[in-house]
This record gives sequence, structure tokens and C-alpha cells, in this order.
Amino acid sequence: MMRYLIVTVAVFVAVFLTGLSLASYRETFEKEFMLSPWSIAKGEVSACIQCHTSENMEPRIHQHVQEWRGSWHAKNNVSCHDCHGGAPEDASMSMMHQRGFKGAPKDTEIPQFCGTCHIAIQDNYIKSGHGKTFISTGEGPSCVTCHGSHNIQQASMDIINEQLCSQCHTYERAKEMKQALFLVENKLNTIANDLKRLKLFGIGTDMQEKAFFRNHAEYRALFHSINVDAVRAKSSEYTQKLEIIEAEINDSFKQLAFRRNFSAYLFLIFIGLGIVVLLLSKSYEQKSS
Amino acid sequence: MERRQLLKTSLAFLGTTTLISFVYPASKFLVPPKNSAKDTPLTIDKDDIPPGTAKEIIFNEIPMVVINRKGSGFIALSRICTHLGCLVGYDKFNNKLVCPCHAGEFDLEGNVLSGPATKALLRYPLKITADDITIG
Amino acid sequence: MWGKLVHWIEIRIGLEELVNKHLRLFRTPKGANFWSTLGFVSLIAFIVQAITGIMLLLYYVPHPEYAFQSVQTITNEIPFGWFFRSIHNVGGNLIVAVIIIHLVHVFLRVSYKKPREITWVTGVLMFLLVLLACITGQLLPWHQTGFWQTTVTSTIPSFLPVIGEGISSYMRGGASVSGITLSRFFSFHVVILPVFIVALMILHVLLIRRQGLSTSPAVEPEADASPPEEFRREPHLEGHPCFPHFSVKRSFMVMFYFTVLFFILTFFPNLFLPAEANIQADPLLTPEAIRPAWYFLAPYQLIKTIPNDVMGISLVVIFSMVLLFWPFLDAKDAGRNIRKRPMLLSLGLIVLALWAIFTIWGMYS
Repeated sequence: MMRYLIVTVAVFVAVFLTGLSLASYRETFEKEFMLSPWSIAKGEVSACIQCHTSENMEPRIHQHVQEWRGSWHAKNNVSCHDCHGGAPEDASMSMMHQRGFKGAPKDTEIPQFCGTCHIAIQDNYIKSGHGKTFISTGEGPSCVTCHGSHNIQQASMDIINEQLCSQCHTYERAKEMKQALFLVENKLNTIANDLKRLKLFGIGTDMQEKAFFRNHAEYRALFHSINVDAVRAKSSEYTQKLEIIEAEINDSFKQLAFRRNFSAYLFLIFIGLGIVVLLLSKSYEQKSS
Repeated sequence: MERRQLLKTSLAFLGTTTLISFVYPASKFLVPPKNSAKDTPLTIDKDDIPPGTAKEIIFNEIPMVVINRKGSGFIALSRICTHLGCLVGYDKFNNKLVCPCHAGEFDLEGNVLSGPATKALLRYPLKITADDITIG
Repeated sequence: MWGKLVHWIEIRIGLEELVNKHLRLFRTPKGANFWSTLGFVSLIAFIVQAITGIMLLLYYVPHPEYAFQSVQTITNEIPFGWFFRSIHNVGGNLIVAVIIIHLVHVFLRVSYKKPREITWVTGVLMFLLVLLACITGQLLPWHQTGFWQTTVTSTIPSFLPVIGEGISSYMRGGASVSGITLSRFFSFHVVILPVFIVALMILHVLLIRRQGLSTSPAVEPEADASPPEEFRREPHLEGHPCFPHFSVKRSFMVMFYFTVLFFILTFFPNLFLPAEANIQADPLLTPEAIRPAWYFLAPYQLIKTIPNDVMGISLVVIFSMVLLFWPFLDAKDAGRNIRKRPMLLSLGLIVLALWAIFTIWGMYS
């Protein structure tokens, strides 16, 4: 009797204590488990971010970090120093030119700044109407006009819209380009979704993901030439390449269907076996009684 | 008794079917298939690639580059960047391979020099004779 | 033809006598129902894991560079590789469920009382070893899920004072999960743990065969509640022979087990493979929500909610010890009919309910 009382009381005490300090422990737990050395929370230990979010800074500087945090760059571990240079781990060297610090680019330097990494895009942009206008006159769209500077999101067709594109000319030309892109972009979206689904089911999508990405990247780079005829001319070529990927994706879906069917067949066989064995068991019971 | 006999027979039949349904996959599992027979070797003339230059080819549906490195001989590397899959290009002025998507750089052995890639480019074996190079 | 084969064996080992003694004349008590077969089902589940595990072993490479790729190859390129991998994955979770139900059934039958204490102890030890096998197995595919789950699991002991860091270090073979951890876990999962589990299994089964199955106190009320003072194996004259009556019941439950297994495989093939299980382990990228496997959610949630780390972990350890040695902690003279023991029944039900609550809480927090 006593034993039960002790054990039951112990259990209740434990549960009671939980109610007492829920909130404070969660914080400690998160600090000790989630933000430990192994989970290098992106940018949290960066000297850049430490200073640029401190109280001494103007609100507009805080905003840069805020915007970056919600960006596609941040999600892919592209941090301050990857674009601006400098040393993120050492506050004293964080803005030194010996560590490659570039600072904020002047307006005219923007294409080169972004083109440090996005080489193919810059190559096409320079040859485009947009690029030539911007470089010769300083007017017209640069990278940040359409993509923003710190709040860069994953590029999509929605960036081509009336509000953005009619700042300098009529929307008609942008609409034409959007239409030219439409079919291939659609296919690209479908493939991206299919690959995500296949991956969830354990299919090895590595090769297809790479093929998808390079076609996607090349097509996007082509767009930056802002040449509707070029885009139209290449569309059938890209459609063909994408159809090869789609065929492989279809094969994978067939593989998944086969797996499901084979498992279903075994499921049914075991139901059958179960019924037969159950009936056999009952017949033995009857015989004895 | 008749019913029990029927049940026993069904059990034997279903049991054997089940056994085969496991033995068949197991036997196929134990003997993996040979790699797909697209392995017809590709031969290139050595003279097509003077020293310091490279030639882009497609072998087994994989885009590759064969480089004639000055002083180190021929090498065949996959052009598929190990970051996200764009095709790297040969930069003959700087003796490296550069990816146009995110500026990943590889040396002429395929090792990562800088950029977002973490793995080296895949390398393919070459057979070199007096006049030509064969892949596969 | 069959007769000739049987006769050949009979002359050499006296097959008939063995079959008669151990299968036909070995009688099970009247109350031996389908629940009583769960121990056998656990054995079959273990054998399924062992066989599929050996098949995976033929192609798996236990090195951080190649582990993930080898599992991808098995799943996608080797013919029916997906089949054996999925069975091993789903079976690994099912076996824990079966063992838990078996444990609860034995508890509710109060079968652990004298003279069956050692049977209970070996059983709980096997349960703990199987859980360890699940922990070690999780790391082997070297995907994000397994890597980070192992990181969290191997850090929990470090909260204990004095010995904590040592235990964590021992588990991981270092300060963080690495190739050494993989090798270590691989050897435990494939050799060390199975050897101990099989040894315990042999002891467990030998004891059951020697002592006979326990009666159901509801069906066969005990003559007197005091435990026996000398060895006695009940003849169970009113019960059925083991073969074919009880064997057929066992077979049915095994069929049921496989039915559930293939049901999951057909309709929910990636039930136990979350999205991160398809991404290779990346020590620099922590996934958003690291959660342990369902059977560890309860202790995990308990540790998370109790304010003091040491107390939380100690509670889990104490609970395991209490479970392990329960036959010695239970009141000596109390009977085996749980309907006449409201305190024990409520204790069991409360613990079960708490376990379920913490598990569900852990799933959604």
C-alpha cells in the first residue's frame, strides 16, 4: 500500500512542478540545446550583425539587418561579408580593406557588386537595353531596382509587374516578355513541385535537381538580356531539355506506383492469411470443446 | 474435418505464395544489375586540344570538359558544379574552372578553390594513346 | 516423401519425442488468449529486423562520406532495395509498439510475481536494449533527422553532474557527432546490441518454457494468494496443447503484425521518414524542429518541462529502474488478480495515461 502511495505521489509532484516553471525553463532549454556550438545560428555570432543591431546605430541601419534576415540570401547562408567583404568573426578587422571590405557600393557600381557572384546574370544585363542605359546614363534599372538590396526574395515572374516596369516605359513591352516566358516558367514550376514531392517519398532526385537548376539558371540569365526575340527563339530548346527531366520524373512516379502496388498486394495476402489462420484457430477451439 | 482440410490447403497455398513473394525480391536484391549499357567509349583526337585549352563534350549524357593542362597532362572533369548543378566553364587565362551561377571556382584537378561548393568536381578516367584520348 | 525425411531425422535425434514433449504435451493455461502471443510476435518482429538488417548490411557503407549515398543507392537503384529498407524502417517502429503492448499486458496480468521475476527483468532489459538499438540505428543513414536527433540525445546525459560529460563523450566518441560516432553506433547496432538481446531472449524463453505460461487470474482464480515455495510447473490439464492450438493463435498475431506493416508501407510509406530524412547530414545547418522518435517523445517532453535538468533526467532514469525491478517492489503478499487490486490498476493506468499525454504533448510542442 505504502509503495503505491510513494510512487504515485512522486509522479504527481513531478507533474505539479512542471506547471510551476514552464516558461523560464523553455528559454534555458532553447539556449542550451538549440543555440549550442553545433547549431551555428546564422549570423548571430557575426561581428557585423552585433554592431549593426546595437543601440548606437541609427534605425535605418537596424533595418538593413532586419530586411536581410527575411531574405533569400539569409536562408542560404549568404551573409554580410559574402557581399561587402570584411571579417565577420573579428570586430577589429570587420571593415578593413585588408580583409576585402568593400563598403556600400555607389549606384553605378551596383551591377559589378552583384555580378561578383551572379556572373552570368551580369554578363547578360550589360548587353541588355537596361544595362546599356544604366551604364551610359546612370538612369534606368540596376539590380536593386527590381530585386531590392537587403530584402532580396527568391526571383519569380511576379517581379515583372505593371507598377515596377511602367516607371520608365509602357507596360506593353514587359507584358510581351512575361508572355514569352510563361510556358517555360510554368514547366519549371511544375518540375520544381514534382521534385519536391518525389524527394519526400525518398526518391533520389539529386541529378534531376541539378539539371533543373542549371536550366532554370540559364533561362533566368537569358531573361536578363531583356530580348523578347532571343527568349522566344530559345524557348523550344529549353522546353525540350525540360521534357527530358519530366520524362525521368514520370519514371520515378511509376516506380512509386509500383512500390505502392507491391506493398498493397502483400497487404492483401496477409489479410487473407490472417483470415485463414483465424478460422483454423476457431476450428481447433471447436474441436476441443 | 473437411473444412479444416480446406483451411490447411489454403494456408499451404497462401503460405507458399507469400514465401515466393519474399524470396523473389530477395534474390533480385542480392544480384544488382550491371550499370546501364550506355558505355560506348568516346574518342577524341589529341590535336583537337592544344596545351592550355579545353574541349567541352557530352558523354553518357553528362556534360564534361577535357582539359590539356600545361605540364600535368589531360584530365576529364564533369562540368556539373557540385553546388547546385550549373555548368562550369574553363577560364584559360587564370587556369581554373568557374561556375557562372554563384562564382564557384575549381582548380584544374577539380578541387574547390572558392565559392559555395564543398565537393570536388567528379573526375573521369581517360585512356591516352599516341594520337587520341578515350573516355569510358 | 515427407514421411521419409521425417523418419531420417527421427532416427538421429528422436524428433517425435521432442515434438510431443515440447509442442503437443506442453499445455497452455485456459486463459491463454491472443494477447498472450505478443511475446512471440516481438520475437518475430526482431527476426524481421535482423533479416532486413543483414540485407541492408550488404550494401551499406558506414562512413560519413558514403553512408547517405549508399542508403540512397539501396532505396533507388538496387532492385527491391526500397522494399527491405522500408520494412526495416517501419518494422523498427512497430517492434517498439509491440513490446510496449506486451509489457502492458504482462503488467495487467501481474505475471511478474514470484517465480517469474527474472522473466520480467530480462524482458525490460531487452526493451531498453531495443530502444538503444533504435537510437543507434537512427544515425546510420547519416541524414539530417538522424544526425540532429543523435546530437540532442547524446547531449542530454551531459546535464548530469560529474559523470554527465563523460557519458556524452563516450557516446559520441568526441565533443560532437562525427565519423567516430557513426562507427561506434554502427558496431553497437549491428553486433553488440543484437548479441546481448539474443542472449537475454534465450534466457527469457527458457524460463517461460521451464515455468510454463502464467495463468490468467480472471479465468483461473488462484486457490491461494501466497506465492509458491518450491518449483512447480502447472500441468494445465484443462488448457490446450501448445501445438496446434496456441501456435495457431501465435501465427494469427504474426499475420496481423505483417498486415499492419504492409498497411503502413502501402498507404503511409514515409510515415517514419520526415522530410529531413532525405537530406544528407549537415553539421552546419540545424533543421527547424528537431524532435526525437515517437517512443522517446514522452521522456523528452518530461525533461523539457521540468525546470531542473538534473531532476528531469534523474526522473527518467528512476522510472526506468523502477520499471526494471518492479517485481521486487510490488507488494509481496498481494494477489495476481488486478481487478482486486485497485491501487495497482490505477497506478498502471495513471502511468500509461501520463505517458500518452506527454507523447502527444511532445508531438505538438
